[in-house]
Amino acid sequence: MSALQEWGFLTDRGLAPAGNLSKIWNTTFKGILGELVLLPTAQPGGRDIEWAESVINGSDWPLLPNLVPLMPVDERSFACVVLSDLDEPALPGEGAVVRWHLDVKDERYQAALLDTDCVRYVESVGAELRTREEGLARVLDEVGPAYQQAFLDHDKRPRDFVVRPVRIACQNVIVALAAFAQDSAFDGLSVVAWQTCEVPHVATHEANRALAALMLCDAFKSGGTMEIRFDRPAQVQVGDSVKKYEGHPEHRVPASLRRFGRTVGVDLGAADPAAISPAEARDLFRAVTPMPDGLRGRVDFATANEGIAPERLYFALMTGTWHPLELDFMLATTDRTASVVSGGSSWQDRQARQAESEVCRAGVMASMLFNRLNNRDSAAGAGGARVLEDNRQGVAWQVDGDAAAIDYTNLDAAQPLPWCGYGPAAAVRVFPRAIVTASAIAAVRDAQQHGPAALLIPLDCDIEVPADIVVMRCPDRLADLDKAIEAKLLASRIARA
Amino acid sequence: MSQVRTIGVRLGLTPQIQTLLADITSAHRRAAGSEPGERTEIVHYEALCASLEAKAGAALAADASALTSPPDPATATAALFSRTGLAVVVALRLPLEPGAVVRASAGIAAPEPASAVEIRDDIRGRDLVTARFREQLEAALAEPGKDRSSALSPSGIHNRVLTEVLRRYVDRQGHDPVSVPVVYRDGSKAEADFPFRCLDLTDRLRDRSELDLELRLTLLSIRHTEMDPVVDGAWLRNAEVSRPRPAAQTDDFVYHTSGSQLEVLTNGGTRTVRLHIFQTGLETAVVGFFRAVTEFLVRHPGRLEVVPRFYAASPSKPPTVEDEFAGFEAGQAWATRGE
Repeated sequence: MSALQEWGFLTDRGLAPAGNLSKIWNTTFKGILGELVLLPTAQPGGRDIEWAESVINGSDWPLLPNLVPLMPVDERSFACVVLSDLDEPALPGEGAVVRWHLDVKDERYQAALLDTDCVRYVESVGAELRTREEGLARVLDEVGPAYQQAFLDHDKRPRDFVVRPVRIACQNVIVALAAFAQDSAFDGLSVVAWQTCEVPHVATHEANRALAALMLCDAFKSGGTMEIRFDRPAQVQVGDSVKKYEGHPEHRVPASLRRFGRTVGVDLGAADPAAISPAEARDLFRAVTPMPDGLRGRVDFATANEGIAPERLYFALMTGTWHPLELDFMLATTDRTASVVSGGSSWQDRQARQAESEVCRAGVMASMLFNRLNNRDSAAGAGGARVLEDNRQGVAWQVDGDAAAIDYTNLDAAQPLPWCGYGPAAAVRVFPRAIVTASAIAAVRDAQQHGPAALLIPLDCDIEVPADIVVMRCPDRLADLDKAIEAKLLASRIARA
Repeated sequence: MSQVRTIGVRLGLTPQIQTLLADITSAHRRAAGSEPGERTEIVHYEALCASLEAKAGAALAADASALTSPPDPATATAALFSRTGLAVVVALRLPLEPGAVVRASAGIAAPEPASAVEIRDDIRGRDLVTARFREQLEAALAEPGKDRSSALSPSGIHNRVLTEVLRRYVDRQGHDPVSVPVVYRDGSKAEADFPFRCLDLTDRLRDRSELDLELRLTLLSIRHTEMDPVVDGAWLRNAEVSRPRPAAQTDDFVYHTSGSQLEVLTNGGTRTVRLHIFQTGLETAVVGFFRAVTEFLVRHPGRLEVVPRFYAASPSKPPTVEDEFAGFEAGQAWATRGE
């Protein structure tokens, strides 16, 4: 395509030409990329940009004027390049690639970032597709059956050095497949298969994020350096024969994972193209662990100031050992979080254990309340069929560390507050305590001057509370809370192999 | 961040409280005798403490005059309370009192990410693991305990490699004795360091006629029950060893148990015993056992011979237990000459 034609194609749309898009349009792609990449004028057997625009504009989500379709992502979305308006300053994301859905339900998932650069995007999709068949066959025909035969059929659990298959599915659609094993030759995780895909009903890069999270948790649990290599030899016994691999089919950090890394600001394989270094793994672990902004800030602070290895916090969150609100409460109210996430103080130091137990009980009660507030289960309602799918209210929390209180907002204003006789409220400030002191009661009384506030205590807390104080009684007794906490502490103690 | 306050709460010695105090005292005693990682008695003790603390909290809320100074933790009964006449003072640590406080650990950054292990392409598989473990151990022997990397880290090392490399470096070979900390990859550190360069080991075993006792034992029970008819017993009970707890606690348990069993078996080092140990791959058990063996041989040279036996996998399933049993290869013996 001549520069003049290219100029005309974009300026007709009021868009400024971009060098990297020009490079794509002037490359002759062969194979699957030749069929996928959309050009102003279609190659033989290919489709052009106007075709994609007509498909998109025929949907409920017409294309934004500064997006140019680049290639299909799946049957219901397109990768589009962000371009700046002609004669206007360059947009911040110029040249990046976003995903345009034809029928997304929630606007926040529209135009999610696929890659930071359109050339790298096309290259990485090409690299991914070149080895996809080999990777799929490896997991589906070799590692999977071998695992089934050696372990599932015999009800056995594999040791960490065994090549284990991983499959992630969403609504019966497989979105990620992988196989990895701990390798004591370099004290890290060896990955021999990694395949992900985008599907219409799953958020952009969610398969990569979920599989990366699972892989990082396995690397942490196995107790190595957190280095993850994609070029190490491995073998599995398939029937009577031994199948040997020389690392991942791409022999380097897979293209889809590097692409995901770019979107979250982590340059994977920078130090060694065939490996995610321990430092890169730390950054990636942070990026894939979902956390509210407040908690993320506290985790970063604890990493910088309290000597807590962040991988331990990310692992605790990803495995559900500690609920985000529990961890947020701990980090905000005590300097004992490092001890708690490592399994707690020695039982012989009763005072330290008391302090940790009280913080943990408060955190556990607070997270139970959050789940109760955030759940819109209509079981008791009279309004037809009970719908259990995505029944979250969208409640948010903010921990006030100095007061050891939590502000819950965005409550269902039509519902009374649970666990107490207080009327409907859109927000409430809660003081969770297992041992109630005069200062806690005074703090609740003071908070009630400014809005709904309550004291949250265990079910069997035997205390006379003044009548003007709103009391929420958690459904669990003190012993139930302690039992749940003991299980969490045990899980924390043996988190690493 | 909230403030921590430690207070004492005075409670009257009602019959109910007296019973609770007695229960706490005895639970504390039982918890102190728990095996490493055994939590049943500890959880019971903590539940009783929580109950007393809740009563103290309720008493304080009802009557502010119950507030007093906390008992001295060093002299408090069951680490929680002290009795004075007809009252008891219970210590309460309150971590959620309002107000900002300076964090004790402020300014300590998280450990840096670990260094990647250098990849070698000249050797592979178990040879590579062996080479890497030896390099690591040599570095630890050069500067034991200097930092986290200067420790014996046996996690993930095949039990044969582990046993053979340990033996090589336990042998004196003209060096001075040196003890190296043992740190597992879950971060736990064993109570006792591992003694290296402290024995003059020999491959020559005694004539059978010189032995007082010769036993064939699996290191752990249950793991290979098909071997039960052809061994004399198991050195350790799997139910006591394979528990969910930090790795170092399992090492400690195996070390202490093995040490006392060796003393009993040799009648305090007066009988000469040979043990054939059929090993399984639990690193903590291997390290704890051979630490005990090494220390025993330092105390009682020539009184013990341990012949480790390692399973050598066969491509086809052995037809009989005896055939499978024969599949265990003898490793280098852990034995010294007598004084």
